[in-house]
Amino acid sequence: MICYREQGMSKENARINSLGRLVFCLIAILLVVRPTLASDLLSPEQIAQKTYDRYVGEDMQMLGRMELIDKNGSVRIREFVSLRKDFDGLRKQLIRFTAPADIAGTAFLNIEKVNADDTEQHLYLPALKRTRRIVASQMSRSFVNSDFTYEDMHRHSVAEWQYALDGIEIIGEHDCYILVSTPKQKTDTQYGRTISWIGKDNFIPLKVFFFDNRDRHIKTYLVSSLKIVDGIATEMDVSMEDIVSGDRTRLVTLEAKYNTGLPNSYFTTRALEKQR
Amino acid sequence: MRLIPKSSVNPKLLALVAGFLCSVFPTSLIDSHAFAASLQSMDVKSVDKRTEITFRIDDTVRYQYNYLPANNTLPPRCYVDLFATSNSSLPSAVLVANQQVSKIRTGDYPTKLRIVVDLKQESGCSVNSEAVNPFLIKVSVSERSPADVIHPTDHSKAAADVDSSPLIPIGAVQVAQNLPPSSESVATDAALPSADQQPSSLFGEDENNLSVWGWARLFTAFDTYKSQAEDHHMHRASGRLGVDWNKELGLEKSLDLHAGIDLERIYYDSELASDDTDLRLYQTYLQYNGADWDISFGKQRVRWGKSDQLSPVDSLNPQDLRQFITFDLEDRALPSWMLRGRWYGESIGVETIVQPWFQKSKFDYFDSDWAIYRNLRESVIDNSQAPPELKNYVRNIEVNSDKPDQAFDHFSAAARLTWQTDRADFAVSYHYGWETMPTINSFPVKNIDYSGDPDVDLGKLLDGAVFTDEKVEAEYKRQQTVGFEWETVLDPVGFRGEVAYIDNVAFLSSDLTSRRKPVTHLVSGIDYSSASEWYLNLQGSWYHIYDYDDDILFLEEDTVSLLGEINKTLWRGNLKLGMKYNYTLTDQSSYLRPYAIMKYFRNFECELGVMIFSGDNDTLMGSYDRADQVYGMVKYSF
Repeated sequence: MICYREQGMSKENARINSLGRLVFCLIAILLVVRPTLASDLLSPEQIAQKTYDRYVGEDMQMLGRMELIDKNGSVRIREFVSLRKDFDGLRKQLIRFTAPADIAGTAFLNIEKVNADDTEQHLYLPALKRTRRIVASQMSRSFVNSDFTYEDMHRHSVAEWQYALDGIEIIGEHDCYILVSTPKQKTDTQYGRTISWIGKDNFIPLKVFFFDNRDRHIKTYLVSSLKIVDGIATEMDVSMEDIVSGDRTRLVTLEAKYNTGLPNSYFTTRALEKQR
Repeated sequence: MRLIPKSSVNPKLLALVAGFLCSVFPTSLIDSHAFAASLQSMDVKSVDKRTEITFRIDDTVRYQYNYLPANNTLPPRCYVDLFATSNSSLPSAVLVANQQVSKIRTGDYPTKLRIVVDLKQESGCSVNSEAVNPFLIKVSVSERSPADVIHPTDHSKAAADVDSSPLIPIGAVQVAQNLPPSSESVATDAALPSADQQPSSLFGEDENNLSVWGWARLFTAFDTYKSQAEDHHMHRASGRLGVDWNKELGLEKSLDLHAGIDLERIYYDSELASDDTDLRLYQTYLQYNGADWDISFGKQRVRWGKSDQLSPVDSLNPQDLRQFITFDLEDRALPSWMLRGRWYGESIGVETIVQPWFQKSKFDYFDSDWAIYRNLRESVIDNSQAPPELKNYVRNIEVNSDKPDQAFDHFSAAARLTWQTDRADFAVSYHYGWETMPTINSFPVKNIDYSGDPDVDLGKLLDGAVFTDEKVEAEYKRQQTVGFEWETVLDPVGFRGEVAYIDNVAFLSSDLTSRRKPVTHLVSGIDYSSASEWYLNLQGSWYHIYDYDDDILFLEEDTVSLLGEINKTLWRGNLKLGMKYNYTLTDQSSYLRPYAIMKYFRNFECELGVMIFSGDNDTLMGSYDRADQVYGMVKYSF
């Protein structure tokens, strides 16, 4: 920005001119800089809230593949379909396994109250031919023997954690907030803290370190690829690695659709028992 | 005072700065309420039987799309909503002269631009985007079926077909530049399909969906105790082939067909036992599904009740008791013919069932460890001191079984009312049916007093017995069951249970005929799963026989048991070690079944285990003491 003084001006006028130019420069600088400052001025809590509130569509359906990879590299593959819908202050998700044959038809329904730590879970086992409630509070259990726990599949209310910003770091080509999250005293969690790298432009956690209550790094979550699907940034390939055992679980999204108007009836215990 | 004297600022400089600001930073970042982007151009291309319409927008925008079938006034059409986008190039309607598309219309809204593509016929319509110079929206109209459908098993093909935006490379996390801020509120503006529109689905709504499945299983067991009169080993080879077919008929309406056949062969090594080979229809039924109701007819397995292993409310289906409880309840239940209707309310549900024909349970009267009369007959035949006439007599004992015929008034009916809250499920039920095990009205050998002990001294037992020419007279009788179930979660355990009052149950008595008595049976318990993959199921069972008769074998007036399972999953689910148990507190008899299940190979399951019965010989579990066995099972699913 160039600010200059024209020749022939009186001192007083020159001073006024200088002041005016300074104000103009400042305004121009603020117009340029303000957006950047605006995002950098987000508090850690705001970052956490924006991550929680990130628009993920009113509903979503996907075909996915889960790869259980042990430390020796051998892989077990499961395929599943997943539906999700937000309505009536609830987030409902239904996951049904379609392969391999011995677990095909096993289905899981998760009903979560938005912004509250209140979850209801149902499991349908085709061998039992009935649906049963399962204890949602035991979040530290492994989800279908993967490296994701039920807690990892569930969103904690933002108010239950404390946040601190630990800087900015680039992952790939993206600036990320490094957000350190520590559970409040009464929060029921298996983790002592987490460190999340959250994309500044999309508020998607691109990498997360999980620590246990002894502050040992026990798991790493990593997003390997993103894709814009129906205008929504979608994690297409993510993995969760168990640092202690060396095992890893990879979730691949094979196909996804958003906002297709899924009926509420797709998220009932009745729907659990249907083949599709 | 003029802050910026007109002559003191170079207008070119001002324009340069303003232009710099506007070009580098999208206006949406400065003022989030102005439209960030505008539609620049449209290009229509016809390729074979496909029309491709490309919209160029000067910035990356969020969008959504949908397909709408024809109605009374409008043709079939698909639309794309471009949020925070204005129209600076297209007229409100553009006529298109090709086979798929008739017209393209635009509409400006407060927060979005809607582009509607009017179609000449029901067509396939897909929308994709490319973050290229700077943003393209491509609408592709083809002659395939309306929904952009992908069958779960065809995802590989579908992935190749879908013209998607470029996949961001694995290994480097990248996101398309200039995504709109995710904090943008969209809920009130999102134009979701209305309730009467069929959602575009991944699940083949407009196709007939067919899947074939099945399994093959070999079960073999060897007795750990060898006595002459018992069968020492048995083998059971079975297989099931099933077909599931589904057709979507409209919004939340569908037709399902499930069909299955079972092939099974059971082999006992006992000379007198007959090997069974069965080819039978398994679950085979047609079901019509409405939005909040369904109706089905055919051979069905319907599971009522909440508890595990023992379920007094689960009375609708007969059971295969040829191996008693050594097979789990779910494997023992036999589908039966029924007409079933269900209605689902918000929290209340109603279910009604009519079973037009009677179906009995499968069991043996003689000559197996698990028969009604166990190995009593073979004990006589194998007894070296028994006279040949006696051996011949018992060898020729026959059974006359009086089953209800298929007359209309021999039907069964049942109803169940369910109530579901956030926290708990409840149900009450009533079943007017038939007892699927026979009532023994008469046994050909009279004047005997059998204690149930398989090691009974036959000489003493038959001393004074009167041998007649009669047959065993077995009859199937009516039975009513009233039940109540519940299930909830009491952190950190699940709590569930059921109780049933059954008006008449047949019990074997000391003269080898039956006594029928009313019964109340309560089963309730908890289960718990730990973070380290331990699972504990603990249930209590109370079985009360009203108007108790001391002649009844194996059960007391009140029989109280603890039963359940404990197991641990290891090796990421590849191995499970566990034990099922049933301990009768009132007579100290028990059944234990430690096992190991391995699932290392895809679709294969291998199980090894032991079944151990303990207790006094005149108790229910103790009377099977000689039937302890080591077993193995291999199952392949497809």
